[in-house]
Amino acid sequence: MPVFNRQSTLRNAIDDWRARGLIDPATAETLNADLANQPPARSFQSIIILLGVICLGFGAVTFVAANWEEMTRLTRVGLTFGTLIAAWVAAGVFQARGHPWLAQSFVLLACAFFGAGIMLVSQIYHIQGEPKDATWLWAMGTLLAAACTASVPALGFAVMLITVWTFLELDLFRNTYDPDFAYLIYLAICAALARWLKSRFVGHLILLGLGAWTLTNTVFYIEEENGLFFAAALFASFATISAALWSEGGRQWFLGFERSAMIYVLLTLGGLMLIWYAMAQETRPEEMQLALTYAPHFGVPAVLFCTVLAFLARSETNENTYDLMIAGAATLLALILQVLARDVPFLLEAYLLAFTIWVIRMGWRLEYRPVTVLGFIGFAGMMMLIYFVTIGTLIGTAAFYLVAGISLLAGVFIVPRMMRKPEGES
Amino acid sequence: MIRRGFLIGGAAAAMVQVGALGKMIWDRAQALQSGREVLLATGFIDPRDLFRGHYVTLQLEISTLEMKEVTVSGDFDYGKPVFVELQEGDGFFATAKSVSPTFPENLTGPVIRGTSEFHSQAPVANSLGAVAPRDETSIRIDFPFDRYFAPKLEAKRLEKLRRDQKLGVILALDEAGNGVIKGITVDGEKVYLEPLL
Repeated sequence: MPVFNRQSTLRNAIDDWRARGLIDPATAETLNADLANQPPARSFQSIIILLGVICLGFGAVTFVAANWEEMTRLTRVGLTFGTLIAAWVAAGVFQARGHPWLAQSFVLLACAFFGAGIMLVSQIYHIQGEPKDATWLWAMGTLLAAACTASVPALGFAVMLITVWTFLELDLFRNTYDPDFAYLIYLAICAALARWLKSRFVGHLILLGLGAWTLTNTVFYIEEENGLFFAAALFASFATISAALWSEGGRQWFLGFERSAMIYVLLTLGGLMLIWYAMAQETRPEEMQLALTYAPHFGVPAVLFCTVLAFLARSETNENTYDLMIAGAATLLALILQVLARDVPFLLEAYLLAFTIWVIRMGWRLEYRPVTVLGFIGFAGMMMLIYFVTIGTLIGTAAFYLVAGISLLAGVFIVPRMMRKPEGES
Repeated sequence: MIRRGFLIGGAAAAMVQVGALGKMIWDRAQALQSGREVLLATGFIDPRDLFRGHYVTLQLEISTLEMKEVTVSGDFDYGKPVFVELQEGDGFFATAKSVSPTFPENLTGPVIRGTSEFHSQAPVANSLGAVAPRDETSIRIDFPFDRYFAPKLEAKRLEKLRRDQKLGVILALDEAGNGVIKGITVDGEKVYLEPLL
């Protein structure tokens, strides 16, 4: 673990442990000495060099722009190709001389020049096509560069370009949008590369884009009176949470990134549940019926998947067995509620509220505060939503809150007594 | 080993990126050399800024067509491809003969590809076999030739054009209907031709 940037935190921790008698003074001195010997990830000199290079780069670009009109076409083309090749040569030189961080910076610069090259060549030669096609070309060239040079900055840039590409033709005014499912294939490739490069940063970008894509497509397809995507996304999210819990509590196939991934999946699932809630209201019966049509196609496999993982976890003594069982139950209830939500009052509201409470508990058990915070935000949001929607009448809403409060308080006192084991575990 | 891998990978990525840019130029040169030449009338978007700022905004006259003047077949939707078959006009310029959402068969003239800016469904025959006309009276098509960057000297010369002179754009079309700008005409006379490179 790189510790240079955490020296003060570790030093304070060592002093605290010595003060509390957890470690003896000799061990504390050994730890402090090791901390003092940790080299910085990069020298300040290299940072200044990078800033100087950036200034030179800006100066060069501005100089070229000022004299662009006076240049012949061939000079412009030569400059375009020359800067691209120069960036790649610089990357190779720095890598050969043992400066990988600078080499990565120039790989990123080369990818930026590649995009600029596409635009400049188009302008020079009046090549007028779709911006979406140009963005795709830029994204693929950057992705290839990231894969060939194992470059995390270039991979992050590629993920951003691919996400821009998929949303480029979204026109909210005309309601025109052609969902591109090839986006999933590209993201899968990027995810595999991120796993290989062990980049959490790229993982965050991928999941952010995937969540936005999922919610956008859900809204689009519902507006087109198609509930298939909603049903698929809802139950796929449940399955993904189960998979993340199983991996996190066991072999950690994603090197501990499972927790961060759960945040994005929970956010996406929260958005889908809001859409579900909106559809379940009296005002949109057609959309709810549409979603209901496809629910079993995706709900049944999801329930089976979650159940299998829960049983596997139990047999492997996975740390997250409890949450995996709850996830399976939540998936099953979601499937059942697709049918009952409109017929039985309060049921969907109760389910959504219980779901947020489970998220809070899950975060507490995982000792992962962001999940807990998300659960609290979801709980607060649901309480506000129930208040504003007002179940039937104000008296009905008050009764709902009362029952929910009594149920929670009763659960706090009764359930531990029922679950108490001889060892006294609560 | 890691350094060698980076150098080999970097060289490969550099070649692909340089090659991609080179292919753009090559494809354009091929289209200019071997594409079918057509001359289309273009209007002025903003007469005050004709060729000022070293580029002109083009609006091909076939971007807006009256339904009654062309043969229209098929369903059209916003943002979808549209294919316009061209024919020789009375004057300098080619005119539109037919419009369809798919590449037309049994061609008699060149085809140019654009993007639909309208929505229209083909009318269905009633029980008596009669087909009502479409609701729309005009068709709007977006072609990827909305801007032409003229070289500085040419731009200054063309600034002196009078408003009543007919501006035309020469396109080189490939077999799929994609085109590149080959030159500019005024009153049918070529005033500027794109060099190959």
